Amino acid sequence: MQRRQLLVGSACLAVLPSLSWADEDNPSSWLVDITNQVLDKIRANPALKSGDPKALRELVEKEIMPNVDFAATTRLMVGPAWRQATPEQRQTLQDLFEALLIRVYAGALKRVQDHVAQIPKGRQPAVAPQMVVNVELVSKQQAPIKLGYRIYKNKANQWKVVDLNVEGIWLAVNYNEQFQGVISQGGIEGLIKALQEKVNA
Amino acid sequence: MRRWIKSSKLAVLASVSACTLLVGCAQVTQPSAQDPYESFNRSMFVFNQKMDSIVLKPVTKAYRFVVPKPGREAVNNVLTNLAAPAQVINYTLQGQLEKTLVSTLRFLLNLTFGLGGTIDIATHLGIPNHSTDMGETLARWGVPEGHYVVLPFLGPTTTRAMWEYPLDFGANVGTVLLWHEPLAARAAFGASRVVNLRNNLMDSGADDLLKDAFDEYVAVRNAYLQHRQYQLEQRGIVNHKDDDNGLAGLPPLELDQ
Repeated sequence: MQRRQLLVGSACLAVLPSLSWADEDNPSSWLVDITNQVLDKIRANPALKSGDPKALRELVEKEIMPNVDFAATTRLMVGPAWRQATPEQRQTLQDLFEALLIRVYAGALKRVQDHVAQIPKGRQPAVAPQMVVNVELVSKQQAPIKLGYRIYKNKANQWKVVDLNVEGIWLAVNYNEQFQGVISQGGIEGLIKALQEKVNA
Repeated sequence: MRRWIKSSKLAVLASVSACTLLVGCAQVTQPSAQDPYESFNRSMFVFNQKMDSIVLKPVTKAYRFVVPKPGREAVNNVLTNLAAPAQVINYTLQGQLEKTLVSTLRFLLNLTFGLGGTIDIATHLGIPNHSTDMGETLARWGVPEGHYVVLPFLGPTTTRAMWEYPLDFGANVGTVLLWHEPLAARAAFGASRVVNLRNNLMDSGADDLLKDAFDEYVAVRNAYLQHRQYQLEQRGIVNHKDDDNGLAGLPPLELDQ
């Protein structure tokens, strides 16, 4: 009897390290955690819920940007024309996209209520160096909101987010297709001008 | 009589030309494979936007101002339940026996214990609603998605998804009950459905999406097509492989490394 318990115990011990390793390498729980942290911050700060740009910028830069490869996001938004852009233009584009993102966020944050992020039931995509992780925001008052994070593992072995979808609608991809018309008419400079107009509006 | 015909013809001609003036001719700079009718679609999109800002949005805002949220939810529940027969027909055509029975049960429960459908009692009893439509039925029969179409008044759809509209109209309890009623009654029912849909759209935050758009037409087209694809995947139309990592259909990532 004692021997059996011992056996079970050692089997558990043997499994433990592999479990913790799997957990560390599984980005789902990481994304659920950071999503919940951001949701908590929003609920705790009335300035964020009312869409105050300064508070929003601080949230984006402190809590969100460290987990995002925003250069890759910018590239995804611009598309093939990125290769022709000068380093200064690239930096300008990146800054303008951040400002645009803050605008988009401001609208979305007003809708945050008692939402809690969790891993949805059903199948999750297979873990790969580039993949999409599905997360859902559940609320007692509303139907769940389904999110998807496009992530990849960088050279430093860290997961980074590059794009986000809400109910299947990808943010960067949607902007990319809108920008192609702007770029075909005015090039990168035309895009920068259009972005400046939107952001300063 | 003849004079009346003549003047009504004139009125039609005038309103058609007014429409054309209002909408103008749309230019296509970036043709998309899924949108071969872009010129027509853009005109319809502009027309719908104008109609929305002149009529539908103000009416919906007034509705939201006058009727509190629980009331609007009751209206939505009733209208959703009246449309349930179309759902039953679709599940039958898809050969989904269980879902056919469940949606029939939901319809009857809500109609009776749910006080004519005002309360979605079935969901409270743990029988949640599953959405389906004629587009999904056709997809299960092997019909491809087809092309993107913007219909006047009805908005974005595809050549496959648009077949939901005739079914949704014909197999609606409201349509059947009001069949012999005067036109005004039928129109009022149709209008209440449209306002309810616009109200749901307002709740979803879709108006914000347009506020930050650079090309509203492209933004709506992408959002519609991406969401539609996602919806059908969620309903199990696409069979995923085990090693699928969710990146299907997304542009490749370029990284400096």
